[in-house]
Amino acid sequence: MESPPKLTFPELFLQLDRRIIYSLVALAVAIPLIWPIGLPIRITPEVQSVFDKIENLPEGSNIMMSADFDPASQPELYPMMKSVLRHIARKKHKVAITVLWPNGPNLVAQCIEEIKLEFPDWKNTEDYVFLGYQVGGTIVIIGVGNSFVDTFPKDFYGSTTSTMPIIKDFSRLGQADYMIMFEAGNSGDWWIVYGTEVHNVEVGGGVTAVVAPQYYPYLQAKQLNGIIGGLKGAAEYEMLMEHPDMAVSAMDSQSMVHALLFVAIVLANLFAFIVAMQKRNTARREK
Amino acid sequence: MLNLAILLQAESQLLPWQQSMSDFFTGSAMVTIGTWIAAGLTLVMFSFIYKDNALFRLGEHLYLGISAGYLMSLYFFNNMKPVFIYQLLPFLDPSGDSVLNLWVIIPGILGVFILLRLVPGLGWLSRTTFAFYIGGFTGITLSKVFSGLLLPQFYATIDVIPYAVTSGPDFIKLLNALVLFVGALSVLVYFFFSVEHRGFVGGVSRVGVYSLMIAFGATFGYTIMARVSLLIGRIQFLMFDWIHVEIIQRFATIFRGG
Repeated sequence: MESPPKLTFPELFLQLDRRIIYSLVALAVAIPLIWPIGLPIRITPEVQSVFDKIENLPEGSNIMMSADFDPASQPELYPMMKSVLRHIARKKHKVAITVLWPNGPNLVAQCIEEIKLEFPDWKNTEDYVFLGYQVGGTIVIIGVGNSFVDTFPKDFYGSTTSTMPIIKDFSRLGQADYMIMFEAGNSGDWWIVYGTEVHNVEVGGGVTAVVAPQYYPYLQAKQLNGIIGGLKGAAEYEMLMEHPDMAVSAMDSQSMVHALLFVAIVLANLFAFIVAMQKRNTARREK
Repeated sequence: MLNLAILLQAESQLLPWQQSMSDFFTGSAMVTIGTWIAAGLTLVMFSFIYKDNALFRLGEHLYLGISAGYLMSLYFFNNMKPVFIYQLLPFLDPSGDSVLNLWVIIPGILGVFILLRLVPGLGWLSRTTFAFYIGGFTGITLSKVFSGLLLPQFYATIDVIPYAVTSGPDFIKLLNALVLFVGALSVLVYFFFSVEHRGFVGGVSRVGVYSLMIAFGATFGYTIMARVSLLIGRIQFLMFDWIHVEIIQRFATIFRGG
């Protein structure tokens, strides 16, 4: 029986079992979580803009927040939402929160509970109102532009919104001094087109990395004042808040995996080139 | 489990059985059980990386089934009940806030029309609803999309013209605006199929292809970053919420003489 031809190292590398690469990726994530490296996190201007806007608003300003994501995007958007909410509570701004995704409200409720542990004086219906989820997407945005109370007669907790103290000075989108939206899809497009552009409200976006390229044109057109993009953006915001949390602790892992993938892509291309050259040389010799 | 507990707490006036359920779900034992179920299901989903298997399919179906059931109950209790049923039959509303509103019959009928797609011979009625929906929505949308999306983006793309006049020493801004302008224009030329892509037009459309490739590359890079973030989120959950790796970290610190 003829033995199979002996493979060269580049050929062996190119036939590497994908499960080995998966295992390396798992290790690249897990090891820095156990032993953090502490790689530096550089603050980008687009994250700084969002932070500066919230930081420089006078105390008690009205901020509209929309959390349009679900558990599938939790690792990226939850840390940034928590940081921004912490910032809002720290600066004593008023915030009205809506959700356009049906699986999102419980994440917001959980985040509010965590922020309340840090700021026990942060009061529901006075400092914040969580309006919850309402079906309709663009129709909800148009409704919120007219009236919170008409669009959300009851808040997430079942309380009547019309009698809430916060509603007295903050009853519609147009009264917001700033808006921040957390987006895992294209609901942010709707907010810009049907909400903030119509009511002339400045808006910043916290977005997943997948949709970030979709939102950069808005930044360039000054329809967004800043973008917190992906886990990296969330880590930057935590650094700006001087309160490192979930995102900062994950950044070492993120960098390690990126480095691993970079090396794998370079090596795979290099070895593919070498193998192609070897085959060409062999063919020439056989001629 | 915590989410379910929050959902139960969200009811302003809890009935005794709801209170009992809320207490049950917020209890520490239930949180531990929930964490173990979530960890088990995470590992089941990860098992697909090794090989497709029956457990993975079970997890997949469980996820889809629970999501569909949750969404259906959410739509019913958050929308159908307060916006339709209580408006039509106010005496059913326990809070007593609802008043009779017969206008809801119209959207109700339009909604039933969509369901009639399942009935052979009456499916055509659904087209009435869709015509109403599409027509109304187009009317609302058209002007806003022009003023809120198309024109601002157009102005931002031709920003090169004011920069060319006023930029002065701000060369980078001018260059940025120029790259954007040329990129957008060349991509539009690439998608203009009424002229054969030869000569000058061919050259411009080739620039368009390169612009598209750069955009796709950036998107791909961001997508990798997003997927890695999701993996990190899951591994953080497994390590810190499930197996409490802090113990290993503490051990490592002691081992290193910390």
